Amino acid sequence: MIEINKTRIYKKGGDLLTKNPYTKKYEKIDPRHSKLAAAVKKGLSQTGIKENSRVLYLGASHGYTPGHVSNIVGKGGLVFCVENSVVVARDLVLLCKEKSNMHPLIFSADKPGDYKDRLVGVDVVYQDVAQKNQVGIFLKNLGLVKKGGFGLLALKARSYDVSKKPGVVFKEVLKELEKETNVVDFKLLDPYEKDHAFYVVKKK
Amino acid sequence: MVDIDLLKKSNMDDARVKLRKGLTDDLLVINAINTLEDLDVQINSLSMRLKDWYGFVNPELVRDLKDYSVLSKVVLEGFEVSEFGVVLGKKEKDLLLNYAGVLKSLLSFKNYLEDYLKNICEKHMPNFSYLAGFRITAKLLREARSLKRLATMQSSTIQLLGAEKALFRHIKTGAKNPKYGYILSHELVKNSRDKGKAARLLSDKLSLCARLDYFMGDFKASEYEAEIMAKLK
Repeated sequence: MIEINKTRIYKKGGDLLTKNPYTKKYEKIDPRHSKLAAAVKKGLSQTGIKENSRVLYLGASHGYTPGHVSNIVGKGGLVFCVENSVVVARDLVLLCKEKSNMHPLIFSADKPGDYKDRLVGVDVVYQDVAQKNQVGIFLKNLGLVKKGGFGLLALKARSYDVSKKPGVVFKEVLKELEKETNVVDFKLLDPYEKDHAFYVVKKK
Repeated sequence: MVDIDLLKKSNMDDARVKLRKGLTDDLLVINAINTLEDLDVQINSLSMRLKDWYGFVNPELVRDLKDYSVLSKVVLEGFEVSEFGVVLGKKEKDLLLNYAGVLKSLLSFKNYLEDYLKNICEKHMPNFSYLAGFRITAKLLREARSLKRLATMQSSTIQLLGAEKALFRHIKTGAKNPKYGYILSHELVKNSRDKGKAARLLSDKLSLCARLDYFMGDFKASEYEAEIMAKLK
């Protein structure tokens, strides 16, 4: 078993694994389900999510990737899962009941002011909401992070602008991000997710 | 220093409250129309299978049958072998009767669901469902995801709900623009000579109705209907 780029995601054969701190078992993470795993498999240099970090996860949906992020941060870390849809959040809340380091927040990620008081000292923002104003939401939430904190953005080009070609969108977003942050890494998620890109930024 | 256990408890409590409040009238309507559409498809394909099967027993009757919804009733109550039919064994006959029974119960459930949807639409959106009919109301609400969003939509957006594929094709490649979405199945639009105009007039009034319903306004849908009729003539 090899750790990939100090991300606390392990590789065994063709599978990616994370270690559940509660059951002490390794759980498989599928790059076709999780954009984080896809990015790591594509060779992302760093994720910024370490042991004991506190992650603000926007667009948690059923809680597949948040569950693995909670494995990565371990018992000492925290994952705040923000999800707007009540129907989808049912599974998420049940998962949060099992794992004590996950917090469910049923709010719209567009309004960080609503859930600002329910967080403590966030180190990393992970955002995967597939909305038209995705980058705007990301930058707004990056305001909640400490200086030098990381931001991870999984961008869906078809949600950002259907009428433009994905390559054009990715460049546009890169420029937009570089105005306010330092872009550390950028990967296309090609065989696993169509027309998606993954950005890692560091707050100035 | 923040007490993390306390924070977790408060966050979980908040989530529980929100989950409990989560079942809105919008969601009831959306779930009902989704189930109803699935049932339509299933009942149709099951009826076709039963038709194939019963066709061996009574080919004359099956050929002349126009409405498959009575098929299960025919099989259950008037099972008879015709001149060109095959006499089935006991096992096969039992199988067919069972099948028809399942289909009949599905049909009665569908009627029940339709009544339920009609009632809840009339209660939740009286103006809108009066003008659009309950099926179109439910479909438009599903596309809009909530009455709040439907009420804030422009009439041109309501006009094209359900025609997203054609609309994006138009934006992307410059193909012809769509003129109507789900409201095409409305009688006023369907039977009109100028469907684009009818769709435009109808969606105009529908957007007003959605606002009336969301902000608890008066019942004005019958006036609107008369206005549309006058303009279409």
